[in-house]
Amino acid sequence: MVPTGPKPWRSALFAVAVLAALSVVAVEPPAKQREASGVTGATAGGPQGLSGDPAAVNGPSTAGQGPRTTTPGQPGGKQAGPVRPGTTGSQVKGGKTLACRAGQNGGSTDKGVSAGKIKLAATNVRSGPGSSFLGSSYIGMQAAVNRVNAKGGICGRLLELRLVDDGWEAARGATFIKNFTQEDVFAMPVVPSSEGLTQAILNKTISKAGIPVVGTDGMLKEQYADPWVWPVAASTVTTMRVMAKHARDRGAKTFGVIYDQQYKFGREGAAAFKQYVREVTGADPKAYVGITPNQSNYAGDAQRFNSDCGTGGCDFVAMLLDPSTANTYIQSQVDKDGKRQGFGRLLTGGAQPLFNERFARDCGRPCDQMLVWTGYNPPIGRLASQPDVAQYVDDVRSVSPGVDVNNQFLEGSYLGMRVFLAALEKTGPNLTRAGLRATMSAMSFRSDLSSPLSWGATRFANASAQPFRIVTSSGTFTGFAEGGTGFIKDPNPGVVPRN
Amino acid sequence: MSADRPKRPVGLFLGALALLSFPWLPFVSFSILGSANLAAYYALVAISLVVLTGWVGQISLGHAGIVGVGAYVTGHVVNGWGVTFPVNLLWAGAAGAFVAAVLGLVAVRVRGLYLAVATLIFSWTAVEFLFRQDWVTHNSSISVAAFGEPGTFPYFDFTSRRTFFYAAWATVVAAAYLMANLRDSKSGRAFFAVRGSEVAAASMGISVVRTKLTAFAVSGALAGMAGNLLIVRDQVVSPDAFKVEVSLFFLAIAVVGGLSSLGGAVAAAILFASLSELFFRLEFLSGWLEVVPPLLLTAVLLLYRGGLAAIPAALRRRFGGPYDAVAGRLLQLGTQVRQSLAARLPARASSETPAEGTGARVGLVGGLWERLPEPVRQLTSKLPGLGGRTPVAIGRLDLAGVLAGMQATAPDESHESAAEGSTTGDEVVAGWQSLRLPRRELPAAREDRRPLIEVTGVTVRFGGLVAANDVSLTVREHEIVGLIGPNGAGKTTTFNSIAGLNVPAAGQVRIFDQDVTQWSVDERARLGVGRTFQAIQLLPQLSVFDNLLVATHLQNPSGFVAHLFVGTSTLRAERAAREQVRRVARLLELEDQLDRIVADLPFGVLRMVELARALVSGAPLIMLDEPASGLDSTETERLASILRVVRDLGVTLLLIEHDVQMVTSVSDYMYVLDYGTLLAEGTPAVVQRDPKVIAAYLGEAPAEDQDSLAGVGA
Amino acid sequence: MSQLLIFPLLSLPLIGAYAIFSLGLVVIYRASKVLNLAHGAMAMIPAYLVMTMVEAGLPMLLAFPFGVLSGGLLGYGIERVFVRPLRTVSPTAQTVGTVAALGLLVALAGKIWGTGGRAAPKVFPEGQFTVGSSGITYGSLGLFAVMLVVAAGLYLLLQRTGVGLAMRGAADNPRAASLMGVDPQLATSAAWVLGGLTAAIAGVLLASITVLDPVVLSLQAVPALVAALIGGLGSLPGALIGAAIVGATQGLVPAISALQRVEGSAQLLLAILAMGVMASRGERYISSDVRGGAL
Repeated sequence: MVPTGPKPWRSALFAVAVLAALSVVAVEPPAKQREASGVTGATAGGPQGLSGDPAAVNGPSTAGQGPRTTTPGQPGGKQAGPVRPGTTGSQVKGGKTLACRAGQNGGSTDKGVSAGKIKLAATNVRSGPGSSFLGSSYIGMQAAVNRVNAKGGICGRLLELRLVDDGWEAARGATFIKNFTQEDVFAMPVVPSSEGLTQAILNKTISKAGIPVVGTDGMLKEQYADPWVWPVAASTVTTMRVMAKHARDRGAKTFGVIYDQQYKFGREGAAAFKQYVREVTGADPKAYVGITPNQSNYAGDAQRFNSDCGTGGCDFVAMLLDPSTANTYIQSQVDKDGKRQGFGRLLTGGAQPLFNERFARDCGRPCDQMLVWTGYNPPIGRLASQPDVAQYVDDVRSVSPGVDVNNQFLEGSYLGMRVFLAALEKTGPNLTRAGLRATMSAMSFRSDLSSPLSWGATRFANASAQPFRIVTSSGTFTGFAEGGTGFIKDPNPGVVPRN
Repeated sequence: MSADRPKRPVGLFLGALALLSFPWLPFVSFSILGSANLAAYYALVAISLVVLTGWVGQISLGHAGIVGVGAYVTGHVVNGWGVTFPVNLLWAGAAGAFVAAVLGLVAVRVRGLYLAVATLIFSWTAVEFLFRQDWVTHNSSISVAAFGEPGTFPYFDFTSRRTFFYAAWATVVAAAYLMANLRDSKSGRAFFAVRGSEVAAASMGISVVRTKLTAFAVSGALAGMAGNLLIVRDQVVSPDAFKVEVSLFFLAIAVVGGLSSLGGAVAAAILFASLSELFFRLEFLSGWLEVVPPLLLTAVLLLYRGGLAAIPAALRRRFGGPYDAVAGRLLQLGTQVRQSLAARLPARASSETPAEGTGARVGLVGGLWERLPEPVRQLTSKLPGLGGRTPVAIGRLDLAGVLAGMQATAPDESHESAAEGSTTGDEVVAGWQSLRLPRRELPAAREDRRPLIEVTGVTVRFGGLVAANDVSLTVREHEIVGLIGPNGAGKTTTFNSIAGLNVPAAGQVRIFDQDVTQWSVDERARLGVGRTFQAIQLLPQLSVFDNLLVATHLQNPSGFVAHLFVGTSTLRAERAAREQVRRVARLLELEDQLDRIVADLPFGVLRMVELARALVSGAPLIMLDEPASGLDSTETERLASILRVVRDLGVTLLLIEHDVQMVTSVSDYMYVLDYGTLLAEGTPAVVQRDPKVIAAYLGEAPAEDQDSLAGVGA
Repeated sequence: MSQLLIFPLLSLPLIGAYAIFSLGLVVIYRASKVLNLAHGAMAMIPAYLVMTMVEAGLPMLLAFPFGVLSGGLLGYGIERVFVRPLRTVSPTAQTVGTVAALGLLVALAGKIWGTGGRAAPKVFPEGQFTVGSSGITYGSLGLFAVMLVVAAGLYLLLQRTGVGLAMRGAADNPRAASLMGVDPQLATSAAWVLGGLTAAIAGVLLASITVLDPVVLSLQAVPALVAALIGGLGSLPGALIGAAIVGATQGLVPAISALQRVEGSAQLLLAILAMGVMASRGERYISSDVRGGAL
């Protein structure tokens, strides 16, 4: 049989089909650090703050209130606080004077550090139930890293960030973290996946390895107990207490909380809520209902909650759930007198996992005027124009244009990374884990993104929270609005009840 | 059970070498070591599924629940009582075995699909209910994962991945070794028999219920131990690790490995763990990991059912030559070493074994059973099939003795077509054609001979249909009784009530002078009844030899624990069993077929194998269900002669048949049924001429020249 | 008093969903002797497809039928690819084949649409009927009503039409069926298509009143399986009764204060019930025509 020759149109068709298949398969680019183009060596001095100029390290005085002006193009937030002796921008390592620029920074000063690179790794949540609110945290981390790398890195060292998805599972995350401690990794910033991080802390993986974990979201109490972990957020317990206090100050007398009883953040937060309510009212919350997340129906639990609160409902209801569980729960409640049952008669509060657009949008009308709480300054209202906040929005949008900038875990991861980078900067060319640790314990970080952060004895750097309202119109979510109170301080900072 | 068994030791040796040196290899990074530990966990679970689903055919979609139980129990004993690693492994195994045995109690009532669903529901309940209870999970994080005290000599810190690697893989290897022993033992054969055909297994005296429960318990123990490995590895477990999807994933591992193969299970476990490591390394692949197990499962189910286990054979077919040569040489070396070692071991005194076939239990478990007080044994005997009746049997047929006894008379009284190769000792006269066995001394009158089967007034109803109506028959010792009748006469129904496959609505069945009307098939087998089946119930993937070996079940006194740790008593029992098989094979001229796979053999030969199987069991009473169906006239004649020989050996036969000519030529006594009622009985000569019988077959009064049933049904 | 009434009311959508699922399961089982463990996935994928279509701008009126049709297609596909080739092995092997299908579909859905829960578009308009101090949403009531329609339709189809007769007979005795001029394979495929269609209906409606998630929705097949089992797996009315029991138990148990504290008590009760039903209906382990259930 005579073989027929190649048919051009057939190969073209085949090539097109392959390309089409590949483009369908291609999902978001991996969260590896993207090498910034045109990286040069040391930057000149001036406004970048990396030149080792003592003036730049100290920064302008931060005693003022209100929006601060910073030179455009600078990473916001200069470190204030005492200057460590010797950190005048050059350091001495083994007799050799080090300068904070490429080629003179002392090279491999610690594990994961080389003359041109700092290797970082973290676990995050890109799949599974937690991804509905933790799924975009990597964007915040990436955005902050990109900014710094675009300016040549820190002391001439570029940052290489490796992120691994653990599906919010404790055992898997702990295994990955353990892997990191054995690899060429200098530190673990942010680590958005709290379940695995907590387990690694409990296993003493982190403290045994002496690997710094900076900028975590503070969801769980173990993060406040480990000497190598620096949380950056208002903890869940802080948020719950602030919520309760806020409601009480506005006349609430009866309280109810519906919480996630499977993941730790729910149990811890609910316990803190209960303890505080008992303290200030003398009685437990009327409704204290734990539900299992990711079920398809909560009719029974909804009824139980309603009957616990009684016919009028509770004055204040707190929801300590992840967004999809919360929505399913809300759908399991029905309206009564035109209002959705299960919400507070006076006020309803949602914790930080509910502070994102997806939840608000999916909820719609029932969530109108519900307050969601955060330890940061989200880009809402007047806050959106504050320099650091505006820069946050720009930075994350440059990584992912359509991302929900109101997602507070996204903002938290960005802030956490910024804190970490600032600490790296401050530690200088002789970059060691011990040095970073010393920096963190003495550091205080100010930016428009949150109230001032400093890690004292309790490590509760961020002990206040503020509310924002969900606004809907004709049943559709239209946006968040300011809550009108600003940051409210935790009435019992540092207290973590057993749960 | 496969052609590459002979070369296996070489592969195992290489595997052991690889395992020992693995953590020290240069490319093995910390995270690769972690994945190797994950592979050990998967391997243990896969092995547990191989035992249950692969060998006994009991499908389990719920193993994650059992693994979870093992993990949480480990958490409790470690945190609560400080029990360290090897011992807490036993706790986890015991817990797993217990839970699985409870599940098994359901399994004995349901089969196939229903069992799959039952296990699925168990897995679901475990996740939704059991692993949400605080009293179960409050110890889900263990405080100590070490053996011994730090600072003192035997101190193993299992948080170190390398130490854990050795501990975990040692467990897997030990489990595989024990299971391999089990597979090659009487218990293993019972597993395969139950998977292939429950009714045939029961007819050989295998208690299907006990076999299934044993399999569940063993599988559960292994799964529980796997749970232990999991929690020791991570120092924490969460209910997420035991979701329903995880059960399905475990099944996927076992199926990809080839479901019946231990080596395949381990290979599949390593494969899946490697994939998870690979996907961890290459980030662009993340998120695709979940697609791979179902994809592999589908591929194996649809395209390559043998799974990974079939690959070595396939490779060998292609590239075998050089490997075989080297492996063969190594094997020879090993055998020489082993033999010289064995020669130095002192001969062990024979342990007490009770007379064969009394049904008393021996071995560790059996011995414990015998020591239980009677009321407890009575209690467990209420549970279906568990305690059971252990009747005093008539005694197995001592085939060896009978055949040896024939030796003395054979050469002088042999037939014209003399046998060749008759020798002294245990060797049997070759060829049954040459046998002319002396008739035993039996009472002349049939009524004086002892009745072995007495059926009195048996009536069997299926719904509204009366299939057998007040049927009575007797089968006396050392005779061949034929049961005939036209289609739908109720022969099979009556046969089945004697065999134990249905329970009569009225009447009584006595066998060996015991009322067995309510007895199960395996209980009757233990009493001394064997049978063949009309539809061949052999295990098609096994050889003839292995099929026949199953039938030595009742004559093998070794117990379950002895099967795990193969000792001299087990080996002795195995040798005796194999001898028995060869003896019968020689008798029926099946020696050449012994190593052939059943699936490859022609129908006529398989009929012989069925008969051989019944003979191997040593049953003094054998029931034959249409033994001539599907045979041509030559084969039928041959069968008839063989049946006569068998009778002369001392076996009593009852057969139902359509081929009237064959039955009349071979029977000593006959019964005729029609429309469920007994029509006639008597010697063949009498029955053939009975006008009622002729009318029943031909449908009308006999013609002038038709005075017998000659020619009917052939 | 009204409290006690509320719980069964709130169980109506559950009962509706489980009923449709278990009806589909029974139809498939009777026509092919296979337990379709991928039934939940046959509900989940169409729900995602409908969501995608609606997000792309298609009105629900058009998206819904397309989604349901996709379910039928999926049913046919699963039978063709995962079940039919294993017919010579055993029904158990075919059931394992559906397990493979389930895993594949869930993994693909997670890859395409992400594994976090999403809100599905509403099929019925927002609003509710008030009942005492509570009420039932239109969506929930709609699901229940649709279930009644589906049940009635299936009954008519299977009991009153030739196609239905064929589907019922083909599994029981394929040879006899083909001798009568009925192609057993066609009947089996038709049953799977029917199962897929009904699963899709249930999936889209259920997702619209709860959450859309690859795993949660797919595993709704397990309670549906429990329902079908309680009803005896062989009959349609049995499936309905089983679904009522399962749905009511899940709805009522939280009302009993002693049980509400024990998580998963509803599931435990149902499991015990299902096991009990299976054990009591189980055959004596020996029957004369038994063949091994090997894979």
